[in-house]
Amino acid sequence: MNPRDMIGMFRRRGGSRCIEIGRQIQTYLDGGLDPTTATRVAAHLDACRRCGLNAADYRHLKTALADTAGAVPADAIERLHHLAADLAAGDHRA
Amino acid sequence: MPDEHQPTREHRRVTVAPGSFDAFVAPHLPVLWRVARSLCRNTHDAEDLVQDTLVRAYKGLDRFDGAHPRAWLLTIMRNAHINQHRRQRPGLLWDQAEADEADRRNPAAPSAEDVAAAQAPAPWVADALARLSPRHIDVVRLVDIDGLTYDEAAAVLGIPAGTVMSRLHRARRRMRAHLTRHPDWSAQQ
Repeated sequence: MNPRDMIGMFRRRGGSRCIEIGRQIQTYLDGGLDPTTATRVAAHLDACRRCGLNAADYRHLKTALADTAGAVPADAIERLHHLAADLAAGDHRA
Repeated sequence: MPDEHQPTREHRRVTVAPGSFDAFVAPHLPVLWRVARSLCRNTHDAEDLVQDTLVRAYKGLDRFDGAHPRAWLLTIMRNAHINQHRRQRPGLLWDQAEADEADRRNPAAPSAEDVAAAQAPAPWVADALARLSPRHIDVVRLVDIDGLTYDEAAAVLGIPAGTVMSRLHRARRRMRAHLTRHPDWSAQQ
C-alpha cells in the first residue's frame, strides 16, 4: 500500500471511510466483492479496530448459523440416489 | 457479484445424457435436501419435494442449457414447491406474504426426525433467529445455514438477488444488534 493511501486510511478512521467499509463488510465476508475492493476492505479491517470488531461479530454469527445445519440423513440421500438411478435407467414409474 | 443465471458468451452448451442423470444430480442431492427442508419446514415433505424435483429435472433434461446445474435444479424445486402448495390449497395463487402469514399462524411443529437432523443451535442464536420476520428467516436459512449463494437463494425464492442481499444484510444487522446485548455472545467469541 502506498504511504498516501495509508495516511488517508488512518485519517478517515471512524469517519466516512468506516461508513463506506461498514456497508461492504457483509458482502466482503460473503465473498461477493471484486478482488481490488476486497483487498482494500481487508486492509482497513486490519488497521481499524472498530471495523475489525464489527467484522469479527459477523464472522462469528455466520459460523454459528452454519453450525446449525446439521448432517443430511444418509438414508434419505441413499433413497434419492436410487430414484435418480431408476430415472437414468429409464424407469419412468420411479 | 456476477449474475450466475446468465451463461457467458464463452460458455459451451453441455448436454446431459439421460443415462448419466444419476451422476449429474448426485453432487447436488445434499444441498437439495437441505433447501427442501428449509422450504417445507420438515424432513418428510422435504424428501417428497426433492423426489418431485428429480422427476421434473429428468423430464426437462433436454431444456437444461449446461450452465449452473445447481441453480437450475433449485429453480425446478421452487416450481415444484409452488405446485405442491396449489394442490394442497386449490384456488389460491401462490403468494409469499400469504404463505408467511400462514406459517406465522400455524407453524409446523418439528418432528423427532427434524430435531435429530438439525444441530441444536446455541440458545442465543435460536433466540435471535426467532425475532426475525419469516422473510428474513428464509434468506438467513438459505444462505447462512444451507450454504446457497445470493443468486441461488434468489432462484429458490423467486426474487432478485439484490433483494436477497438487502434482506440478508438487514437480518444479520438485527441479529447482531440483539446478540451483542446477549450475555453469552462475548463468552462465545
